Amino acid sequence: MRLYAGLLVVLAVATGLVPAGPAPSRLGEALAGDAVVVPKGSAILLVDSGGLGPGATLVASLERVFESTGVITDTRWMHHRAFVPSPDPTVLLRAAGGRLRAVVLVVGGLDWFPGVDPVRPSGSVAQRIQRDLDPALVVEEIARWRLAADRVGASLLLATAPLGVGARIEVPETLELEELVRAAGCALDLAGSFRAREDREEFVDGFDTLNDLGRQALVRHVYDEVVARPGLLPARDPAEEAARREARALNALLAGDHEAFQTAAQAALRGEAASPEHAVRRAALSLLVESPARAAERWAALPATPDFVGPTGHLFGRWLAGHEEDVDLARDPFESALTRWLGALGLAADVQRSDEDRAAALLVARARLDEVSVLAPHRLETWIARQVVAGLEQPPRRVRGEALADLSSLDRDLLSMDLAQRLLDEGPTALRWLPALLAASGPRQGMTPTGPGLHDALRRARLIGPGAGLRRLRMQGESSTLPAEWSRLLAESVR
Amino acid sequence: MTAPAAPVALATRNGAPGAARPGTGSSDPALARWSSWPWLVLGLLLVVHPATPGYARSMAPGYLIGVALLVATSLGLRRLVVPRAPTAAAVAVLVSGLVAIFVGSQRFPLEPMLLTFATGLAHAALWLTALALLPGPDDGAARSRSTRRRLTAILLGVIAVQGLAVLGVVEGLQVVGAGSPRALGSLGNPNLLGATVGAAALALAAFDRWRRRTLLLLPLVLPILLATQSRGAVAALLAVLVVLGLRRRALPTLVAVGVALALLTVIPNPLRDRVQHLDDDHAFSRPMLWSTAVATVADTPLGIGPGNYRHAFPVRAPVAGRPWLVHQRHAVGLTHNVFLTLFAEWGLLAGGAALLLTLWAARRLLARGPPDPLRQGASLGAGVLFAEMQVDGLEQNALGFALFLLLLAAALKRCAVPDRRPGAIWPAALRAALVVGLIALVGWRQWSLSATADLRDAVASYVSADAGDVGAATDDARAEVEVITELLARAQGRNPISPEIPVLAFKFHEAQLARLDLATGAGRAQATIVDAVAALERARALSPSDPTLPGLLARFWIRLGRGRGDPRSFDLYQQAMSEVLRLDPLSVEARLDLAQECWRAGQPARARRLFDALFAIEPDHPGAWWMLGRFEEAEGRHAAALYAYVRSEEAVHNARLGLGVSHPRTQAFYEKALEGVDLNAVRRRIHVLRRELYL
Repeated sequence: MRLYAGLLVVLAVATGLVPAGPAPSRLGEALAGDAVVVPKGSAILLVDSGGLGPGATLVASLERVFESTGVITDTRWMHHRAFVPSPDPTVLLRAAGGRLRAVVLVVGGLDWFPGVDPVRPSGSVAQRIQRDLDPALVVEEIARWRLAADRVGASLLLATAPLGVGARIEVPETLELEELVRAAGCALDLAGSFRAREDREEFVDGFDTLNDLGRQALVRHVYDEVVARPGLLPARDPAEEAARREARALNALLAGDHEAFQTAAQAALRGEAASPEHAVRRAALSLLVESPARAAERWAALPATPDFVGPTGHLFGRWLAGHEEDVDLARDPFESALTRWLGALGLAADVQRSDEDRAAALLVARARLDEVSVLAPHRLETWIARQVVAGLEQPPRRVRGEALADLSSLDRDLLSMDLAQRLLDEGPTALRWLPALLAASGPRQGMTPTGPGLHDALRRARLIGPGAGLRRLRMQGESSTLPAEWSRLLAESVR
Repeated sequence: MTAPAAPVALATRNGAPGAARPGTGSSDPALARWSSWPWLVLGLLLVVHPATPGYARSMAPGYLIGVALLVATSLGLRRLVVPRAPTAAAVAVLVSGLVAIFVGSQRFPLEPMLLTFATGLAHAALWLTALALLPGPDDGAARSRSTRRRLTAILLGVIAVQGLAVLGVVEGLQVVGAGSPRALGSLGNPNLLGATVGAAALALAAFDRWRRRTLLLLPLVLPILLATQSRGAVAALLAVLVVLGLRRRALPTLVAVGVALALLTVIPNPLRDRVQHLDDDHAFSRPMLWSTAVATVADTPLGIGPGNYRHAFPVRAPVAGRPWLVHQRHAVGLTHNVFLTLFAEWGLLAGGAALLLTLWAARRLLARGPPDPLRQGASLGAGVLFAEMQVDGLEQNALGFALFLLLLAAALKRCAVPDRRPGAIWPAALRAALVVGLIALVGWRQWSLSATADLRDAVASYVSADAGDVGAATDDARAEVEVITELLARAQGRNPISPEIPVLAFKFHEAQLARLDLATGAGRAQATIVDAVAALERARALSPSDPTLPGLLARFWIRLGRGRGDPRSFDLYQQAMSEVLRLDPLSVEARLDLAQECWRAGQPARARRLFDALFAIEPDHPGAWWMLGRFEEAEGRHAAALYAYVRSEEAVHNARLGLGVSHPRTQAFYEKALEGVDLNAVRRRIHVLRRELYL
């Protein structure tokens, strides 16, 4: 017996020389370390296999967007890159204890196929390219994560991985994986969303790794889905619920769906506003669905003390309602500039003034418009302001074609063309849309404006060369004003 | 040294004192005189022959001649007595083999079956001769000592020759498979080399009564064993040592095994490297091979015929998706278990007889007896080879199996368990007939091969000659045709069962047809077509399981169709290719050929199905992906074409990596798959299509 025991010891020692598996993630430590600042049920973990790119910037964007709109508040977003098959997810999630509200598991992408990389060949025969992914392995992996999430009391949201046109054509096996995830109960269909946007250059490699624009689109998509589907991530309190109703109304406004907007806005205006942020958004909606007088009442009800810095849209709304305030009190410099422009515009449009005074006021309004344009030349509010000023010119300038050309250089999902036409038709009265647009643009603040021209230039730069991309941008710049960031983005993409 | 007492007592119990006991051959003066020559023959057969240049080619005839000479040395003895049980087993195996030949000849070529049967016959003759030749327990210490000395000389010779072959230091010694990462010696198989050297070393140590000087063998044997990287050989060696240790309660033996295992695991060595780098499912290949063999046995209990499993395996083997097995499916061809080989190829009777013989031998060998280095050494050597035979096809190599039979016979003869029944008489007339038969067979084989070789050269010369020149010199051409026709008749007359000869006739007629197209009219051409097809049908009748024959026919029809624009040719081509795929369902090349022709014939859907089936077998075929890309692009399906080109690029990289895989068949497959695929061209197409699809 002693001999066999000795043999076993030798074998055990020999086995111990074999390298162990990968070390567990440090996410658990990070979550555990945040025990003080992250209360229970206040963390959302985003898990992917690498296609989403730098996780820190992505979760920071998600956190900012949801926090600023009040749709999901006091919640920390975290990112974890999981390798497939991942080490036991229960160990990872248990480290977070009960702090997790939800786990968003992104399934798919080329990393789920051992060795698949259309750009780089695999390194050894042992890691041959295998595209025949075993469905049972995927289902098993999902089940492991579901079980782990259940054990820590968090809900698991399955998401398909965003993929570019390259992945669809060159690795069509990813489509089978998508179907598998959908069959397993997909909550966020990122693949479907990005499939509809295949004409845009939102992947570093054209396959499955998002670039900055892609991450920006992903944040918008997740925000829109959470707002549109109340059951996806249920609201924790009435404030979140109210914020989601307001956000639904503002999204319907941008989509140009008049009927849905009216219904959603009426629903959002019910009850009392729980905070100044809610009050500002409701006043903006009220201006469009109730009456200017009712909207003015709502703005008047907001605090007007000199040291009160209201939420974005507060100052502009009060100015529109006839309450002149100190414009420097605005939290957002763009709102300050827009409010200054509004003051000058009021003088220029005052019919009781002489023509000379109005002409002088118009000059001031133009100067203020330049300030607005410098700050955010491609925001919709600027675009509307530009059209309003043009409408006051004597004789009035016909700006419709030029305005639409400018708008067409930007992505359509910012504003529907129907609404754009309507704003142009309204002339100076389009100002009433500005507070709502200001509120609706909240989730998009800080994001780079994009457009078909930019995507085309980036694609040409990737497929043909930097020169082709630059030529494309230059050609478009001759017919419309392009955002200055586009040249920088192009240079970065080919670096 | 005095003779052991126990055998004497046994001899007294089993027969009249002093009388020759049947089965032992003891105290027969004629047998004692006979005992010098056979050792010389065995030495030539097992040591000198493998060291001769061209051993790989002369292995089979050399073995047959060697056994014939061995049996011939016994012709001076009128009565040769052999134990009944081994004799009965040998006879049962041979009878079962004959039945299996009859059954198998309906599906498989007769010629290789007969040659394999002849080798089996030689094994039986060597086995019986060794049982008669070697000394029994009551033959005296002197004979035992001399037998040990002679066996020691042979085994040392085997180790020395194979060691020199591995090193390649002896000029003129052919090293089979030079360049292989695994040592092969001159035996041509690393597992066989490892098991042979290991068995020889173990037997030598026991013959020398485990003296310390036997440790001197270690520096020679261990490097060879590790260089073979044979898991089976090392496992067999260690298993036999464990059995020895447990039986003798020898703690040092078990400790030595444990230490050896630990050292093999810890210290980097070629065997450890190979085990670590095996494919994931390599460890499961044995159960797969065995289960395939069992299915074959269940289907054909009478046997498929000696040596035919290599034809049966590719049809049944579930190796799709395992490229390393797909590539060598024609080379595997072994059940990797001696009993399964007998059951599958030689029939149930042969397998059953071998099993019963094993039980009989095990009972005798495991019985306790007085210390006997000859018995112990021979038992251990035979045990290692027997264990190796359970996981590898050792029985397929004449030298390895001959060594096993020799050692087993030596061990069995020294057993203390008495035979209940007297031994059987092996008559001299039968032995003489066997000697004459084996020599005649080898002579006939060489005689027919010389005629076939002449024909092969003449046809090759005719096929490779410039058709235009020969056509111009009409008289020379006619003379050449007459010579080849005469050679054909001669070769056919000497060997009417060889499928190679009608294949050569087909190639000759095919070449004739190419020239007739240039020089003469349609009438002659039609007659030549009939001759060519008839020749190939003859070959198929002789070798119905060979997929290359319908492949030749398919190629013939499609060439004919292209040259003459005959639409019926495509139908005939399809029929022939269907036959190829029936006989070789995992053939990637046949599917690729058929897919291309279907596309050309306007059947893109069928071509795509064939490509799908092809990629299910071999996902990394650069040429097939490239071809599919070109077809899809021509069809205007640019997204599908881009996918195929991308896969082609990946496959090029993978195939280049695959070239480093140890098995030469895999290397050959990837070399062929890479032919005609220009990576730069693939990349250019990808670049163009990406711009077209994504811009």
